[in-house]
This record gives sequence, structure tokens and C-alpha cells, in this order.
Amino acid sequence: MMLEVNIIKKLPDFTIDLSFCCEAGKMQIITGPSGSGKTTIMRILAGLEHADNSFIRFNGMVWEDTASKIFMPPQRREIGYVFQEYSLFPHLTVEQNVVFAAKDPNNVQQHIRFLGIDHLKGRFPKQLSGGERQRVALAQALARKPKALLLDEPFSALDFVTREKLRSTLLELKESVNIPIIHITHDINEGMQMADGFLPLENGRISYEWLPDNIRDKVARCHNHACPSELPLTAQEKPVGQMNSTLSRLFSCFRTCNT
Amino acid sequence: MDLQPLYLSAKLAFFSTTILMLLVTPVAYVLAYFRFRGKVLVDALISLPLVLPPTVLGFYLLVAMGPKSPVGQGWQALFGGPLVFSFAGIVIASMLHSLPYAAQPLKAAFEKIDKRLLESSYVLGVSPIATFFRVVLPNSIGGLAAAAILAFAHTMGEFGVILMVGGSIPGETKVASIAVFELVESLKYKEAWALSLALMISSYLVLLGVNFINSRERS
Repeated sequence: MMLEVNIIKKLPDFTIDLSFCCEAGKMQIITGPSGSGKTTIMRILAGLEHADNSFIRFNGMVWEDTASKIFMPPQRREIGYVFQEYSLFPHLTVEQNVVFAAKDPNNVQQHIRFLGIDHLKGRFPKQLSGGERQRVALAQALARKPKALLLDEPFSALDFVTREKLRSTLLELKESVNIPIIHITHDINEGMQMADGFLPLENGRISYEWLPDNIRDKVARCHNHACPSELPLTAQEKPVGQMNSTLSRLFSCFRTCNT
Repeated sequence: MDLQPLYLSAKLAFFSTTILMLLVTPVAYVLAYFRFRGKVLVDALISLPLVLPPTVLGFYLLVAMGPKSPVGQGWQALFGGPLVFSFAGIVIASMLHSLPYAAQPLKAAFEKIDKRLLESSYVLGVSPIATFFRVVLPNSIGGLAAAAILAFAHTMGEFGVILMVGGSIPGETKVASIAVFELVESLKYKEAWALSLALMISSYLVLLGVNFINSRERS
């Protein structure tokens, strides 16, 4: 199970030009300063935004191919998406939120227990703290048995202790669900701890320049692991960002960042 | 006191509000969430009854639904009777006259919903139509109720449009406001007082209901 991504999208100040792959059971970290295009990339992956030029394929199924005018709407992509801001349904209790799109309602309790929100089942989102809401959002995303998980800075608004707890939950989760996980964070250290692949972004492109020296060295030592298949949208076919995707491809699919 | 006009007003308000809410809800949703060419024109057209004199709207409807018009002839062919000067005719006229009173609060309620909730529903695999029923409507209950109450109250007090389209046929089109007018014209002030008071109390209760809903929404 592999998620293959090649995206070009022109934004007012810069152009996102990025290619990467993520295998099942791996976590691809995307990091970068605010306004570097991270959330837009995630929204394109989810089908909530269109790219100008893109090829996104998951497990052999094309989600988006601008050349062939293929676009699979978000509701058919079978993904779990945890938004940066809380997006639970305010008219539903915690349990109803988790059940909302559950494929198998019998498994809901399992996710509720795993994320430690058993005692919150009857509460409404406005009665929850930030960390509790993100746990519920994660349970909601998992309950639909996603084939890929997209996490858009889910811990950014949380205090240090809650972040630490949720980070270990996420690592446990990574072991238990064998699906590709794309995780956006602007905390480089947090990203390095969890990453199987690491994409440092600046103005929509892979850039190592802005990374602190010690981390840049660590990234440089990482073993590069190229995508097993060439994505159809090659550097030669691109109207903009001629070489960047080739570079992206070289650096994006590496593993063992922590070695 | 003859209660038939009051009963007819309530019946008219019930039917026109129910049908109007069913028709206007998807329109308000489209206006709130979709961009399309001519949206400003549609928006202004829906609000037109707010500023148009009821007699003018009534005159246009009388012409549009009259026995010589395609609508009137079609109605005659289908139901065997004229559309104007009938209860069905005043229901249609009331719906059009109350359109902005239902559409505006509904549109405002839909616009208030955080778009991220809709996106969240889509990525959870729920279709846009199912999202409308499972996310949008439950989170717009206050707006829906306010729209329905305002449309109902507005219909209860309608005069000009109904007089133009329906005339004053007892038991068919002679609603409370027209009955009050006729009672005053024939100097029957006592009955006019009683009917007016009944209309005023019902209107006040309706507005009280809207305020109650709004305050609950705010809290």
C-alpha cells in the first residue's frame, strides 16, 4: 500500500512543487515555517482543494490526475483527516461524533478505549479541553477504517504535557495501523522523533537551508530511498519548478531518519 | 365574533409556510455556499417583496396567474378551476410575498456554519447531500425555526397581496386582515377590535418565540 504524490500548485506568493511517496506503516513528516504550503498540500491530498498540476495515486488507484482530468472527491478517498483546528460536530456527543462515519460501529468502542476517551462519551465538544478534542478527532478519523491518515498539526494548540501524551499515542497508533500516515508539524524535533520520511518545506519546495545545522546534518545522514515507481508527472513535463520535483524525489522517500 | 377568517389565516399561514420552507431551504443553501454567475441578481430578486408595495406584487401575480395566463390555463386544465380567487392562489401569493422572510434568516444560519464542519464530513466519507441533512440542518435549527416563524407571522398579517389575488370570498380567501378591513368599513368597531386584538396577540407571541430562539442560539 503506497501513497504517491506529485503536486504543483501556484499560490499568490510562491508555487508548491513537491513529490513524495509514503508506504503503509510509515509516517511521512512534512515540516516547515508558517505559510510554507503545508496545509494546502494536505488539503490537496484530501481532495478539498485542486492542484494546478498533479498526480496522486494510492495503492494503484488514481485520486487525482490533472492530465487525465481525474478527480476523486474527498468522500471516496477513504482517508482519515485530523484538522489543525478542532472540527468535531458540535451537535453530537463524543460517542456520536466517533460513530458518525464509522464503518463498523462495533469497533467504535475499541477506538474510544485506545484513545482514552471512554469517560467523555456523553459530553459535547464544547465541554472538552483541546487535548480531549484532538483525541476524539483522532478516534473519529480511525473509526472509518481509513486507508491513509492525514494529520495537519493536530498538536499545535496543545500544552507540552498533552502534546507528549498524544505523541506517544500516535507512535502506538503507527505500530497498530498498517497504513501510510502523513503528519504535518512545525516542531522539527517532534517530527524527527516520529519520522520515517522527512520533508522540510520552504515556500512550497523541499529546502534544507532553513533547518538548524545539527538537524540538517542528521537529515543529510539519512538513507535516501527513492520511490519504487516513477510518477507520470516528470520534471520535463512541468510548466514550473523544472528541477525541484526531481530533487524532491531524491530526498523525500528516505527511511531511518533516526539512525 | 366570526372566527372563520382567523382560522383561514392560520390555515393559509400553515400551508404557505410549510411549502415555502421545503422550497426555500435548498435555495438558501445554494445562495450561502455556492458561487455562480448572477448570484447577486437572484439574491436581490428574492428580497424584492421586502420593498415592493404588496398591491404591486399582487397585481403582477393576478396577471401571471389569471385565467388568460399560461399558469392560470395550466391550473384550470389540471384542477378544473381558476387559480386566482381560490385558496391555492393565495397560498402561492403568500409564499412569494413571504419569500425573503424565510430565505434571509435561513441563508444567514447556513452562512454561520463553519465550513470546516462540512469538509470534515466529506473526508469522513459522507456525501454532500447526506452532509446537508446530518451536519448543516442540525446546526441550523435556530435559523430554520426563526425563518418558519417569521414566514408564518408575516402570512398571518398579509393584506394587500391576498386582496389582489384572492379578493374576499368567505371561507375561501377572506382572511383575518381582510375581515378587519371590512368590519371597519361597515363601522362594526366592536368586532374589528376583537379580531385585531386576536391578531395582535398571536403576532406578539410569534415575535416572542423568535426572540426566545435567538437568545437560546446566542447562549
